[in-house]
Amino acid sequence: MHLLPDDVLRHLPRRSLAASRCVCQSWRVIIDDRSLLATAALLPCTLRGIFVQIGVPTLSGFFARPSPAGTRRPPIPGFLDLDYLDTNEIEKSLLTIVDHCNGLILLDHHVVNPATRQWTRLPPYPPESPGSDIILDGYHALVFDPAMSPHYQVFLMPYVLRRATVSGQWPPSPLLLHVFSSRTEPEGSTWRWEERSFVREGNATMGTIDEVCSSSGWEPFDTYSVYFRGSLYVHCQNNCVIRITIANHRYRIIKLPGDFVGNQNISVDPYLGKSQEGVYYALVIGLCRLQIWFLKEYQSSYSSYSNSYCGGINGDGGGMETTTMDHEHEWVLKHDADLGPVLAAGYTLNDGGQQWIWHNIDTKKKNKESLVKEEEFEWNDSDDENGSAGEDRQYKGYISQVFGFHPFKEIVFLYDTDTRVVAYHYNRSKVQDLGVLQVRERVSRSFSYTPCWMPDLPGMHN
Amino acid sequence: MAAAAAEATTDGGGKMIILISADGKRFEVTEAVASQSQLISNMIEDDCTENGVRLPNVDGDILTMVVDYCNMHAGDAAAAGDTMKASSTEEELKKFDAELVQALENPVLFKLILAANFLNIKSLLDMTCQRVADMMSGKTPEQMRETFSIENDFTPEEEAAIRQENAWAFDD
Repeated sequence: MHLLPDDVLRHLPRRSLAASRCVCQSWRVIIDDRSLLATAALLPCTLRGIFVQIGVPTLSGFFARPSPAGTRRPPIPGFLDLDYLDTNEIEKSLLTIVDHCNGLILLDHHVVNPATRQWTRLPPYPPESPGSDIILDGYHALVFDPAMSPHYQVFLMPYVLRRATVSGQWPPSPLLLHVFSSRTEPEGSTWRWEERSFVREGNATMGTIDEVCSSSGWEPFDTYSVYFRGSLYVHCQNNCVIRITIANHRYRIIKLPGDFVGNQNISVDPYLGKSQEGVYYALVIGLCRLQIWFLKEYQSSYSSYSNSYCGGINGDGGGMETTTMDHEHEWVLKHDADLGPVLAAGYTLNDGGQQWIWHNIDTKKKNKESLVKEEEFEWNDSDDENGSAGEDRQYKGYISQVFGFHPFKEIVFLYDTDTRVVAYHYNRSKVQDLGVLQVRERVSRSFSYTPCWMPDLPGMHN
Repeated sequence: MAAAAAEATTDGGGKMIILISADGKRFEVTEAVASQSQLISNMIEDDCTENGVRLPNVDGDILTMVVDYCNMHAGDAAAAGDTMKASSTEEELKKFDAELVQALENPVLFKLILAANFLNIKSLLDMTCQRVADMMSGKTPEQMRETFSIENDFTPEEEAAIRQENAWAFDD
């Protein structure tokens, strides 16, 4: 039986496809002929660096390890020189990164793939209803997983700005969201936003509209979102995450752990991100206490048992016990430590050729020629205890920013005392220096970037 | 005119069509049932089903399964207006489909895929291909060879090289 119909292949996950390729000659030929696995190499499965958005857009840049010399891929993704976009110089200088998802970047009105230098312009955002108490496009979230589909979507999530005339729980059910999908048929030649309706699962809401408004002074306006296994998680108001299950048009409100809102002791923006096993949340308390939480989700039949700790909040008058919950979740505290001593005592500095480098428009003009070092940067755990650590540095040792999670490893990137970016292996409580990053302005957003090399995504062009 | 009137009143799809398998077995089905095959549907439109439809690459035992499947699934289209009936039919169909694919041995399953492909019956093709994909999923190359009785025709060097190319598929 040497036949392997295309339709079977279409149903196979990548891993099985790769295994099938080793079964016999004829199968290998079929798979190679269809270039089925070639696409696998183009998927976003390596961390290339960190996009850092600074308060002033023109200063923003990319922090990454040096490119191995002689590789065919460009050292810096096509993000710094946006000459391929259709914007004029002034617009270009104001572009800010709103979101990143699996290699695509939402850059204001553009969805950009910096790896292929292809892009598309989104249709004009839907108008906000006049006199509305709600900012309709408060949160923007990009949804893209090329391992599943070449299509991408942008979700707009309302932000409750001030005490509304309407009372009651927020969000309502059904919740109407504006969504852009590259799958929607263009009307004429332009795409459009569509309105999609999502029904609430479970009783939890973010609270009453009043409660949601009163939290707003405490919270960062720009939060993060995660797209993981068909669900979109957006960090939204009143210390909550909204999980939108896209395929079945449902949403669930999940309370964040750690009581960020109203905590005077927290000055660093928390980070909701994707890492090794799913959705993680990093919270810095005080100057240097770091908590890493993991959102554990499972399907369960014992819903009444786990309601007590699953983060169901603001239930409608104690109706919890009768709720049928198809999904359960809990936040697991993976790590909780004071990094002060480690940061203050110092760690081995990475000042050699492997040092991560700050690239932006300015540095690009200055030194095009300086490509350093051949070898790949390793996640090193052998270069501890040597002389360079310690005394001659005057770091006060505090965490000034969480830069994001390593998408595939249990590592979180931290900005130490506005000087150095470090990778913190929290399972081993180990700090690894990446390099110097000195910017005078405040860092507003940062994203771990995983390039996607797939050309010609729907609607994208050069 | 009389014929047309008779067609319209016949319960469940009108005119009958004869399907003839490679080994000469004859199956009489309604147009509605047969039209689930895009191939036959096109033939009906082109008016070339009068002397029976010969299917030279589908054996009688496979065609029996295909006809059973189509008979079963012709019902849901007819009952679509009646929600009560449709929902119960849906349950039954799922059960029928599951039993159909689960019961099949490999060579028969592959023949059924070929037939579904040739006759262009999308739902049957999807279902059978999904079944094969499920059987392959999570298996090592060795296990796949065993499942589908395939001989390893790589030299050891070739196999090592190929495995190296897709190392990420074997790393856990």
